[in-house]
Amino acid sequence: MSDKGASPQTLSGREIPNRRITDISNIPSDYSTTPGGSIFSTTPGGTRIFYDRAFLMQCRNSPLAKTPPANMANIPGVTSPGEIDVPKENGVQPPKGDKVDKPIEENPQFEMDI
Amino acid sequence: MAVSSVKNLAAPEKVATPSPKLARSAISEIHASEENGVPLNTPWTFYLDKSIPGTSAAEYEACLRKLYTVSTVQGFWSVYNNIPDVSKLNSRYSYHLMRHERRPIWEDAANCNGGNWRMKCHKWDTPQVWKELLLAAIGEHLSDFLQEGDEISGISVSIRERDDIVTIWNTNSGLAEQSNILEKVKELVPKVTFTASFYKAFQTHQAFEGYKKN
Repeated sequence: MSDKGASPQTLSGREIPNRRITDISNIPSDYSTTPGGSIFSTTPGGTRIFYDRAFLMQCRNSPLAKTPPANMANIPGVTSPGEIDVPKENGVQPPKGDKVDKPIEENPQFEMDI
Repeated sequence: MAVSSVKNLAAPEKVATPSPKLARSAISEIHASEENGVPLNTPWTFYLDKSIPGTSAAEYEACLRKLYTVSTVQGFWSVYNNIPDVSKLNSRYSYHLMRHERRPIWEDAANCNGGNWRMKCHKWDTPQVWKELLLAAIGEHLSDFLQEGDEISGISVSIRERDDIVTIWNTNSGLAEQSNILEKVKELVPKVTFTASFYKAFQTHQAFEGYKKN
């Protein structure tokens, strides 16, 4: 230990490399695939895929995003023209009543909780 | 990317069996969302419901409609761009975007230990709040404001007579207290005034019907 007088050596950390995707063309061609070809979206440790708002907004106008998915559920008034009429599945008739809304409650609950 | 690897995997099988018979719907699904899309961190599912006062969980389930499960950014937009804007929805309708294919039902296994942050906003702000929360959710920017062990499981918007309600679902109500997600929301929509906002665990709702298996 002869370096008593030497200035303390500081180990400066290095930033974790961070690739920013600002345009679809920035995405590497092998993104999200293993070399052998299987698909993954998260590493085993659990890193997440983040997307900036700007990037997401840019995708909004891609040709793929303009048309609805071919097999989207057909709900008149929502995914096809017509009047919206949701509850009809299995012949269940919506009960009439004006009790507490469920599961999304009406305003009284709100006022009570604040 | 995604598609070419699917082809690679399918190729050896083709030799042994004649043309693999995929349902037409399955094919279009692959084409629509996986062909050129940028993968999302997890798939997300759009739902629509009409809430009727006084319904039981089972009745609510029957009114719940799954619109589509998206797994790419483009797939997300292809649904979002092609369903009516929230400003066009009639009162009592809700949209939900739930992680994976979880249903927006409190009693489901994925939700029963969770809760949601509920924010009331003026109608003129609803479309913006809804869109910004969706983008923050699929972009995975909300997760940073949760505690370790907690997860965002969905975003909902419910159209009401007066002010609308926007909610953020999490999976662990015990960790909600220490989260600062509402601050993140303020940052996302700085100009919006929420007329009310609070957190509520699903199990503390009077109407909670107990645990249930999916």
